[in-house]
Amino acid sequence: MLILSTALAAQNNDEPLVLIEIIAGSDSIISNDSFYVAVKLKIKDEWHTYWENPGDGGLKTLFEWTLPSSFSISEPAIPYPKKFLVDDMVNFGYEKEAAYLFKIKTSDVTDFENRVEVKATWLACKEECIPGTSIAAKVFYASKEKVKTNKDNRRIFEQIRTMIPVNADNIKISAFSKNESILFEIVPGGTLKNFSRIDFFPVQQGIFSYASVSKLLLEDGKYLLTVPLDPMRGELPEELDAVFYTPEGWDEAGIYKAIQQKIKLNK
Amino acid sequence: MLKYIFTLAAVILFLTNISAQIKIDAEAPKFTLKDSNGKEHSLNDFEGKYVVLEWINFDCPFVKKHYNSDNMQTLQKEYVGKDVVWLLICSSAEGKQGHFSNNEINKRLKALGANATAYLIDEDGKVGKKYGAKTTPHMFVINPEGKLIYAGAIDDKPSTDVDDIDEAVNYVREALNASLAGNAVKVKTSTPYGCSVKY
Repeated sequence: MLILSTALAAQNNDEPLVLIEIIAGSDSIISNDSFYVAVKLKIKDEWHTYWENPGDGGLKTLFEWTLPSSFSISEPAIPYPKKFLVDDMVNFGYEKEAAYLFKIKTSDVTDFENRVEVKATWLACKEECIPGTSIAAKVFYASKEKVKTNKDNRRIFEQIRTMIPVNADNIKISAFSKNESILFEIVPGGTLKNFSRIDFFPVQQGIFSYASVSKLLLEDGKYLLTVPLDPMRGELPEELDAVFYTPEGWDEAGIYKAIQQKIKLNK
Repeated sequence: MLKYIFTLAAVILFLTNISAQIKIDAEAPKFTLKDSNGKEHSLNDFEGKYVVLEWINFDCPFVKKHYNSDNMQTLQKEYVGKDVVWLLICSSAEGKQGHFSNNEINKRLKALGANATAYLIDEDGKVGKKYGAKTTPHMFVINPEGKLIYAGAIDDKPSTDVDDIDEAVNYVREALNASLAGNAVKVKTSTPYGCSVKY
């Protein structure tokens, strides 16, 4: 049985805009171990929350943890976003749900009950935007032996992982500054697939014109993706951090739809 | 042979030039708009003066942050007192968030104690799109020669939290102070943050 936390939302409406829950493979933990938890956002229909680069407006979701002293937690692995066209603007974010993945490390666990709490600070928008916070908590119990994650929970975490962009070393991406655009040369690993499209999501803000037309060409086994720059950008960075999404998937089985890479920019 | 595969949906094609008309250190696009009292204002009317353009939507939480804290009103008062023209521009289309009747606008301006020169109504969004206004707030500073010297966020703390204001670097203040003192503006552009403009 999946272990779900209780969740509270700081909303006065009958139906909260965003509810969160902590998902773990097991509620038992041991000392000097590590395990993953997911924080799942359930977003009210027709509303959306934002990715780390929100696009032309909005605000990324932040997480603040309260942990026992024997616990430490990683930065989140962030699911790839979707592009929204809102009032002639492009936003990057999530509808319905989004699951962020965190790695917890334990040191010497002395207490039997170990309560963790997470507060998510979010901005949810439809036409209007409403900021809010949601809190979820979960208790982990100290055990002498590691309890394996059951099959159902493993499947849920596998599903969550497919939403997290992978750093695929076998896919070579180069970036070139060209006029008012950046040209990405993408050499997929393995068999060359016929991608219907590649969506580009820059992690850094203020560099690209999100609403402008990107072009994708296939030439000599390489995909050439041209993404227009924002005319009001500042100086271009040395390195671009970006997510590339394709509905066909980057791996042979087509499971992993998004990759994330830091790419040196050739100016 | 090149194989053309994909372009983004044509529905957003028209947006490609949303901010193509503005450039830092170039002439700011001219405009004429009516204010919430029905009076026309043209950018030309303010030649020889600094002009601040502030894109606004009273119901946006980012705008509320800066008005409920009195941050924006204080800034307006400080610079209007130095002969700077401060224009609020609302590009919310009719029926969308932030679009109000003139009476309602004037009521809200009074209740908030706004110190701007005028509240201009751009309900067809033409001026907003000329300037590439994306968020509320989105700030632009024009110098007495009519050149754009700053475009971007109000400050460096993208949040809806009033507590962040004290520690924030206010880019508009920095740009105006530098330019009024005859110095170069250090941060000329920044990424604006806020709600999307409701075109």
